[in-house]
Amino acid sequence: MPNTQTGMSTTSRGATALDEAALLERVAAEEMDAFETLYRVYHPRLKRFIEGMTRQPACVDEVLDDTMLVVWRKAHTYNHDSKVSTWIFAIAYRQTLKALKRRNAILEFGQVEDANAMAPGPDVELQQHELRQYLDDALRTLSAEHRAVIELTYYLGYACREIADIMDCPVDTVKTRMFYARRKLKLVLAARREAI
Amino acid sequence: MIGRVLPFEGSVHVEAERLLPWLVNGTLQNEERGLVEQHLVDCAQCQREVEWLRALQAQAACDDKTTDAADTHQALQCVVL
Repeated sequence: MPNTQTGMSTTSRGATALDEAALLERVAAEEMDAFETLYRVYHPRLKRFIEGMTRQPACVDEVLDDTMLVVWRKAHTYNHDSKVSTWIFAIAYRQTLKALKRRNAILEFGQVEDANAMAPGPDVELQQHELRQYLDDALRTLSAEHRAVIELTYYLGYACREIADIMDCPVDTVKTRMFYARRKLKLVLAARREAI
Repeated sequence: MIGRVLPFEGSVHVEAERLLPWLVNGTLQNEERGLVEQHLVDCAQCQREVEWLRALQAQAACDDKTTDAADTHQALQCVVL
């Protein structure tokens, strides 16, 4: 959603690159209002990305806070090699992987939570809810890395090169991860269709 | 006959297929975009894949709650069914 107060938009990447770099410099100088602005601008996209990558709603806020804490502490290390958004999402990606590692260790002997307790609605809504549920279940079978590539491509609209920067891996690895993510997603959905 | 060395057809398909997600999200540039678009003209398999990937992207955008419910439903059906 466009932020009219700051003249920034969370949807048009690139156009705000200079503003964001200036904003991050102010964050590096420990200006709290600049940090609050950056937080507001990035909160929706980061939340969605972390949700999509973890598929564990309970840890989203924690990872988001961890990410913004690193942004606050490390803002002075931003060197303009990449766009601010790429730099921030790279932090979010690493923080999410870390959190999943911690959480998986805890959940190892427990049961993974089921966060889909939505009330059934009218027929069409129920059907839509079911479709969404099938897709969510299928996405849940992918690895966090595979889900990250999907989120970064389809929701956040990043180019392959930018995703490689965010995930700190070669471009070919991104292409390969996406290829296997697509294949597995299709296989799981096909198996589900046959089971219906 | 001496001619240009053309990439093996199978390898073009493999590379184009791997790049399709970024054709769909509009970030593919120059040579890669040319390669994929040219390949798509004749490859029915990749054309179907593009349709599926477009639906996957559309349903991801639908999570914004800014799109029409019918569009969401259609995209989900295309992805899942």
